[in-house]
Amino acid sequence: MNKFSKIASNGLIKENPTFKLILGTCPTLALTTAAFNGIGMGLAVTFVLICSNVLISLLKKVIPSNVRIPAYILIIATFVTIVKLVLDKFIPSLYDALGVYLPLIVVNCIILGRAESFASKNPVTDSALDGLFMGLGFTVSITLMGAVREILGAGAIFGFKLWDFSIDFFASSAGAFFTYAIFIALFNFILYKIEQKKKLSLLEVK
Amino acid sequence: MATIKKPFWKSFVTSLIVMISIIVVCGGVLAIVNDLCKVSDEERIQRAIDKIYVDTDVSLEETLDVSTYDKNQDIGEIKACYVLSNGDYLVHVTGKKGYSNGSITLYVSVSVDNSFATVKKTVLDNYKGQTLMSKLTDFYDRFSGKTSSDDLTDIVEAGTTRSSQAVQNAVYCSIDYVNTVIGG
Repeated sequence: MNKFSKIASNGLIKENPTFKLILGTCPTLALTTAAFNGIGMGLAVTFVLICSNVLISLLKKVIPSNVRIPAYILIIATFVTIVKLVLDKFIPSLYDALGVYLPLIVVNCIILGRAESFASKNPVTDSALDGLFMGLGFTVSITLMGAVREILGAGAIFGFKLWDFSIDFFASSAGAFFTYAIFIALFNFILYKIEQKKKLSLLEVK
Repeated sequence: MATIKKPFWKSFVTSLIVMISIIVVCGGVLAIVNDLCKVSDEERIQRAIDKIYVDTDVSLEETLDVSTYDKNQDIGEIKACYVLSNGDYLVHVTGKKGYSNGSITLYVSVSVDNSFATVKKTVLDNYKGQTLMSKLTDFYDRFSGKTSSDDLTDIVEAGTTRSSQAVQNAVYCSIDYVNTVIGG
């Protein structure tokens, strides 16, 4: 497996930030009432992840280790503020929908976690790819969760009404926890089964 | 092999220089982006107008002076009032005495028919707080068609009694202000 596919599979599946590492749970639970919110939040996080990973990787030899966390927070906060200003100007509906969770990206564990564990130890291109795939993993996960909750809780998908039937529970906070738990269980079960299959086939080859 | 430890003052100065450099660069970038993406007051008002008058071409005509209005200060505050191209008034108002003595800011459009100020539509100013009040839609529509002679106190959303009171106060202040302007 080459470096590119390793980083891609890590971000999307093996170390999926939402369902495997259980990071960024606050926006995952609060914003997944609609699939559109999931895409918006996911892309905002992806942009911040790529930019902050690149800059931190570039500055890894310049930033002294004893001030690295405040320096990372400053860099991340800058990119989050840029996203906030751009969304407010050009997509005000998404800016309203994301609300307080947009500035809270600054303290999102996924971003600080990747900065500390990956970007500060790896070259720029690898860090950019890690940011891209971690961000995409997060985007796909919360968009899927948002789609399921929107279909069941509002009888719609991406704002388009499908039917009049809806289960209010899925639109509530308790519904968010329930859906999240089901997704984590399913994701890890499927992953476990695939790994078991791989192990078995390796044993058979031997 | 023994590691050579940097003296405290040297690492302190290095850290300080790096942090100041990052702050200066980040601040500069943000200043440029802020300048490029600044949303003007006119644009914000037009956004509020577009939320209220969906599919209708309405624009801002005139801004009224609200500094002379000093009534109902204990329950609300008129932040601004605009006259629109269709003759309606758009009142930017804060209602007080909400949950935990908090406030809620709204845009209330008021039309004037035969010297009677009537609420046309009420929308929330911003959704940054993501509170329960920002998720309600039908609740604000219940104020439409209300005049100064109507009782607003029965318009309450279950579970948000105190916040509903702040909205009632804001709507009441808007009607009262427009009545003062038109001399009704």
